[in-house]
This record gives sequence, structure tokens and C-alpha cells, in this order.
Amino acid sequence: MGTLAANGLKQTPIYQAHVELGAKLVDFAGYALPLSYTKMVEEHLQVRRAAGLFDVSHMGRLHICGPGAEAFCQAVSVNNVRRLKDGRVQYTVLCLANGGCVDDLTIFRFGQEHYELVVNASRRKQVIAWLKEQPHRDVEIEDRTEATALMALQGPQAMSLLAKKVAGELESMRPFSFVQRELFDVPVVLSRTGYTGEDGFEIECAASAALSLWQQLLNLGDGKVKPIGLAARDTLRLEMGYMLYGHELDEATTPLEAGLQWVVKLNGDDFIGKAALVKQQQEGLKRRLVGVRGGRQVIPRRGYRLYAEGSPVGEITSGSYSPTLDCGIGLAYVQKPFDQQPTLEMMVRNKPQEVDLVKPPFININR
Amino acid sequence: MNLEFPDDLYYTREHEWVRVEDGIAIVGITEYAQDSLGDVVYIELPAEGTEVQKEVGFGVIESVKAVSDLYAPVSGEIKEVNDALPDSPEIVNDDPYGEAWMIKVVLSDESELKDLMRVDAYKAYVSDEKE
Repeated sequence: MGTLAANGLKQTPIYQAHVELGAKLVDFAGYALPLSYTKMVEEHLQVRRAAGLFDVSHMGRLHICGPGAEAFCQAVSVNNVRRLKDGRVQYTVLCLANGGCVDDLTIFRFGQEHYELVVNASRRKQVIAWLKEQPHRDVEIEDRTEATALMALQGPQAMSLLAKKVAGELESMRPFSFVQRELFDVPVVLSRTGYTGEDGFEIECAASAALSLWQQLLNLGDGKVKPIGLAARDTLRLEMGYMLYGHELDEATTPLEAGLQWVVKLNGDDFIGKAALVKQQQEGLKRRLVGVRGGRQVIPRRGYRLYAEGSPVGEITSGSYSPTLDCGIGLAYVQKPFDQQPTLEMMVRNKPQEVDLVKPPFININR
Repeated sequence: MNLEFPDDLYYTREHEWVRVEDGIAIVGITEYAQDSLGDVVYIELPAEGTEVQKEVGFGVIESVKAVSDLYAPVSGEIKEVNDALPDSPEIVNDDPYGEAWMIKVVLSDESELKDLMRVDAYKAYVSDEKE
């Protein structure tokens, strides 16, 4: 455990708790983070059946402040930031002029002159550099990642467990909205958002308050909440078909290819990359992200090739065993028109295996 | 977590173990290996009668997060395969040195055992690998 710190990895404000819980720690985007505390499948099912707590403090938290904040956020974001109301959250993508993705993120609107971007840890530096390259009149770009912590409480019991502990009413909070409240006497930004598909919250607080807040959240409901590591976070997001930057998205991939048409507002205000995306839309996509489902012992893995009648037509970007479905699932880019086929062959250790092409999410969650 | 390494076994750099009984090498993977892999969901083993070669892959093990090859610690003919594993791969996590043995090999050259690590050397190897 001490070794990871010695390797120069950054620690989140909750690091000490992970060590005390006996977590298996890994290097993720330069942070020492818990891969798992017990067993990955157990942790995954804990979130689907009850509630789990994640330390996601490694995610970048960038604040855009000043009279030009709204115009700036709109200019860099493919979604309609201008339609966002105070206290609401929006999923969006930042694009290069050629339409490739700089990052995917959530954007919080505190007010017309104050937005927060929650970006991927692996992209934080690039996003900051890229934002600063863009014209930014009357705007301050402030990185508050290290001064704060971010946790996620996710699962069907998240609401009932948390509602009792927060002053004021929570049940009426809409998905993708946030409030500023006190939780165990700690001022927090509480959003009804997450990366698991389950109901739940993401909770931001000052770094100095994070460890004690983490402990109190873990004690909610006398053991009903369990800590959950990155391995389960990945299988949970994959069952929902959610993107992971560096896998489904990168600078050579457009959000249209990734199936994010619902996020890209080509009829709205102008943004960087719009012209390229309009052109791609008009010319038609050459490839498309699809869901892939294998049998119990046919597990897609990143880099596995997909074939149609012996010709390569695609490649897996993320793949895993699905604890909920007890089978292999994955996401893949497939050349058109092969994305319309019901099945393709996936090469697994030089043996072709049939996989079904499906539209994510792989599972249905009843809320 | 304290990992267990029985002192009557031979160990490989690829984290397989060997227990020798009457000229037969019983092969499995170590607790360190199962702990690193996480939940095991798939195991592919060769048929009985297959000849395995020292340090050559004989099977595949797949966990929730990764795929790994299984390497033969010694050479010889496979006398018996653990048929329970493909249907219940999770046994590898529960009992890596017992129920989750994988193959039994008729040693073709007992001197190959000298190339394997004993428990103290393996423990040192594992603690190096962690760093």
C-alpha cells in the first residue's frame, strides 16, 4: 500500500479510508484508487440491489466563472448549455474543430455566471489546456479538483437512506438536478446523477470534510451501504452502455459515431466542431457504436476483432463479464452497414464465436 | 489481506503451483494469482492425454476484468483434468490449492522441478512483484 504512494501517485482526501478498509489499490489516471474492497461481482450486485459508496474524487472539477461564463460554456459544448437552468446538470461533450472528442462530462449550472464541469481524471490536464486555448473573454477557469472531494452513493436504496439525513425534502429532486445542502453538518453539492444506471447521488464537499463524510455515509442504515471499487464501477457503467473516454471516445472519434446524437444539438447555438459534425451527419456515418452480447463463456475484451463472413468489420472498445446477466457484454465500433446485422463473429483466442448485436442498455432498471 | 502459500508446493513465476505425489504433478494457480485476477468466470483446460510442455500455455483463465494464459510448470502427459472447473470457475477463488487443482501431469523429467521456486523464494518473488 505504501508502495503506490511511493510511486508518486496522488491520493484522494479519502485515501486513508481505502487503506483501512483493506482495498486493493491501483493506479488510475495517476491516483491511487480502490479497484475493489472485497469481490468485484459482490460489489456490483450490492449497487444493483441496495446501495454502494464510491470515491470519485479523482474526477476533475473545473469552475467557469464570470460574466462570459454562459457564452463560453455554450461555445465549447455540443449540448445546448443555454437551455440549462440554475440547479440543473447536463451531460455533454467538448469537441475539437474536426469533431473529435476532447472529453465527455457533466456540466452544473450554479448561475449564468458560474458553471462547473466534472471531467474525466485522465483528461483533466488536456481539458484545461484546451479550454484556455479557446477565446475566453470575461471568464475565469479555475481547477478546484484538489480542494474538494466527490463521492457517489448509488443504488435503489440511496434515496431512502440519504433522505433522512438531509435537511429539507429530497424525493422531489429530478434526475440531473442538484441542490446545495448540509449533510451531517457538512456543506455539500448534492446532485441526482451517477454512472451506474441506478438512482443515487453524487456528493461534492470540501477536501477537509471528506473523510468524515465518507465514514458517516458508510454507516448509513447500519451496514446497508458498502464501499465499491473501480472494477464494479466499470461493469456497472458497461451494463448501461455508458461511454468511457479512452475506450469509446477519443480525439479520433466523433460523438455522432458514438451514438450521442441526443447530446449533440446541431440545430442549436454554434459550438466548436459543429461544422464538422454537420458535414459528417450529411455525408453519413461510416461506423457506429453498438452493443455486443456473448454467451456465458464468450466475453468480449477491448481490442477483439469482429468479422462478417470472414472480413473484419469492427473492434471491441470495452468488454467484460456482466454480473447481472451472467454473460459477456461489450461495446464495439462496427462499419456500416454491418452494424445492422443481428450477429457477428468475434475472434476469441483465434476461434470465431457468435455474438449478438444489441442496443444498449444491456439491462433494464425499474425505478 | 494475508495470502496463503503452503510450504509443500513448488511455484512458478507465472503464479502456478505444483504438488508432487508419486511422480504426478498436480497443478493449479496460487492465492496471489486468484487474488490478482478477481472473480474467475471462465476456465479452458485441455483434454486428458494432451502433452504439455514446460512454460508453454496449456489453458486460459478469465476473470471479470482480464484474460490470462495458464502455463505448464512441467512437461508431461495430462493424466487427469478437473472437470468441475469449467462449470464452477469460482472454486478457483474459494480454494485455489485444494478443490481448484487444474491438471495432473505425469512428470516426464523430474529434474524440471529444480527450476521451480520453493515457498520462501516465491514469497520474496511475490512481494517484489507487488512493488
